[in-house]
Amino acid sequence: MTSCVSPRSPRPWTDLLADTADIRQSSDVIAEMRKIMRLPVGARVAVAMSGGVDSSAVAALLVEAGYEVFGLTARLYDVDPTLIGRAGTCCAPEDARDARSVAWQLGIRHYTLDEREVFARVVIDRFVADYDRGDTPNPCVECNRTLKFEVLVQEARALGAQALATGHYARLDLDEHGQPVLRRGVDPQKDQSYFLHPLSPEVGKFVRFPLGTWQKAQVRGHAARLGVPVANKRESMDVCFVAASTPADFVAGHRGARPGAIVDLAGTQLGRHAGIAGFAVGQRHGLGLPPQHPEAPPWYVVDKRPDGTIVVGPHEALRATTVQLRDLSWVGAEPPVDTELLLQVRHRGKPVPARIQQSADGVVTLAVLDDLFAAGRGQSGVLFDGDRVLGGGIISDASRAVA
Amino acid sequence: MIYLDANATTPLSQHVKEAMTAAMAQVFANPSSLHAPGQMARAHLEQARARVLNAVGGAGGKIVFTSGATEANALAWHGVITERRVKHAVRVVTSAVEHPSIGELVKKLRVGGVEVVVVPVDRQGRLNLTAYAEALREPTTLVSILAVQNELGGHYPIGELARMAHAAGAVFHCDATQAPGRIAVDLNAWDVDLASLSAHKVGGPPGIGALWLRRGQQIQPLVAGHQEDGLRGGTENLLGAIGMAAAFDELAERLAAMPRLRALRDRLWQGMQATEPLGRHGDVLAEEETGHVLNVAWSGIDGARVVRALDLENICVSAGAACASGTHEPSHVLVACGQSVAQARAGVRFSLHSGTTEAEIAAVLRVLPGLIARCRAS
Repeated sequence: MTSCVSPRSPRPWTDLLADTADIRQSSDVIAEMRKIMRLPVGARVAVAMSGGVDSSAVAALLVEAGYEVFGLTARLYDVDPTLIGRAGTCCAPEDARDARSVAWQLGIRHYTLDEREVFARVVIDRFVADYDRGDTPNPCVECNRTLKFEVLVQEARALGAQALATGHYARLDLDEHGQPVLRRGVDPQKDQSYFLHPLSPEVGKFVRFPLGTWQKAQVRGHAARLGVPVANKRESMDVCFVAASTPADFVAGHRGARPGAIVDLAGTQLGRHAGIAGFAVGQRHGLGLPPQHPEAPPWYVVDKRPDGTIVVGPHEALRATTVQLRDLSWVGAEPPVDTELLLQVRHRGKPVPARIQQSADGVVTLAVLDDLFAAGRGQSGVLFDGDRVLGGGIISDASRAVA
Repeated sequence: MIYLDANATTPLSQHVKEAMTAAMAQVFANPSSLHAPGQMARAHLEQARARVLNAVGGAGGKIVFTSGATEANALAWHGVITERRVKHAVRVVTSAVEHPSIGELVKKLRVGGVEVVVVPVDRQGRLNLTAYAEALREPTTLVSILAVQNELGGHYPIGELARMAHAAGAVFHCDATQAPGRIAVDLNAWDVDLASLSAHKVGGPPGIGALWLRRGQQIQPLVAGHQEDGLRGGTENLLGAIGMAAAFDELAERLAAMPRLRALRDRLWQGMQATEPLGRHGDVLAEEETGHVLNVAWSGIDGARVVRALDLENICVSAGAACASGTHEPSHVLVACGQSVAQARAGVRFSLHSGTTEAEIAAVLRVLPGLIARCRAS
């Protein structure tokens, strides 16, 4: 058993305060929270609580700001008991317990929703199927789209909440027309806007991200100030439900490893591999190919085909000149064709300039205007205007410079 | 706070609180000790035992204090089976709407190769008597049927069921957890051999219950030790026993409140028609139910969601087997009544207690229309 948060136990939080950049006066923080919430004091608000420091801090800050706060935790999967306590989990049973302990400390109500069936269907099964097909899906985006922006939002509304707040690091405001504006979080190390792009305009008016302007260190400082346990809490990272293994092993465990051929761009077979899930577009090492001439350029994985074939090529073959996105959603109004914007294809990836060439039926084709390498099918392509998230979709095709 | 979850736990009665507080100040010793404080503890314990025994019409039999009705159920089943299995093959007959603690015993015994026959119920949760009689045509060791169904509030003809079981040569155990204070309990008249009892469904503290045994009924203990006549080892929960006895002192008052609770329950059901409930589970003839339970469903709304929404309005109710740790299994009782999984998830249980007032029911009815509309819309 992992240890639950012990109520009101002494914490050496002065250590944490020492390296905290800025603990603002609580009156300023209260004013800031009320501005972000856009709700009168006493309004009922739901907080999506994962059991981690960030969402716990949000709950504590909203209690301090005078709202009637209750916590919601979605229980998403059952964890193999031998894996409990490993880093990187988020919504497993012990996290729900941690969230409840925090709620009790704050004197607020907390409810755990049984969403295991929805999560298995919408997130895990799709992840496994996509991975097995050679795509590189992003389950965190699907989880936000379905679990956070649908299930938790619906539950919060049913329970009479005026808003649902989460601990995400992204800024969310309304413009002068009352339309939501989603921007990157201020802390570049924590910015989660990439994962939040499935936010619809309607849901964007209901959801709040109170930590968008904060640094992680500030959050920890205020959490400690408000009596939220912050010590030894793991950061939720990576794909939560494969925490103790790798995506490749997880997929292989569900579908069985699918061996196949390794071919070059011309289709010549260079070797065999043990399972497609073990490879990522852009990967250079561990291909198991016979040594080449010392002067020859190294091989990179440039494509994973649904039939299990892995295509390798020189680095230049990873360059994408156009990118097609499917299942596109926009946070605000859809920008017209020819608009220049920034395209980001992975969480910590560098945004590159791109231009909308074509847009129809939720599918957008973009001309890439700068170096973009290893844009794999299934990854999320998120479109920015500066630090503002315009929308995003799933990469369905990325044409290569070298064919 | 409006508390309508009596079948989970009743609020502690004032009389119980006073009895336990007084005992806490006076009694501390081990009832097995020879010295004066030990003898005083023993006197309190035996007095508590006698009061519980008499309150359930069990004179002549024996009360074995346990940690609650779940342990009493386990002690009854394992105790009888272990006693009998030396000489005979074991076969058990029970119902499909028992408390989950019995369900766990069924699973465990089946794994161990014991034949357990589960008698079905009809859509209102009434036992299928034809199937019951059929099940008793084969030699049976133990029959175990609950007196009052916790999710539906229906009660079962225990006297008749016990007679049929005895005719088949079986020992009859009754899980009477929800019965005291709701129906007149007379264990000797019912002619049962063993009965499980609990304190916290009648204003007593949780953590204490008892197994009643008819005079001469032999069982084997689960926990060995000299206490409780060798049937339940471990130093006795004296304060709990005193609390349980105080709670069982008040059974007559609780029973007298039942017609009033039935009227309030009926008013609740009538009043909520404005919210267009899908229906009522376990809606049976008045003489077959206690009258303090309303298990209701709204089409397309998960019962746990209604429970959460009511909780935010400071109204406490339950939904089937929904549990705070976040697993929401459909109620096995509603599934046994032939409901679909979705319908079984939709069940919301209001259970009234002797302190429930007219004003509380009126307050619930004021909140309910808007709340159900909101749950429907989202």
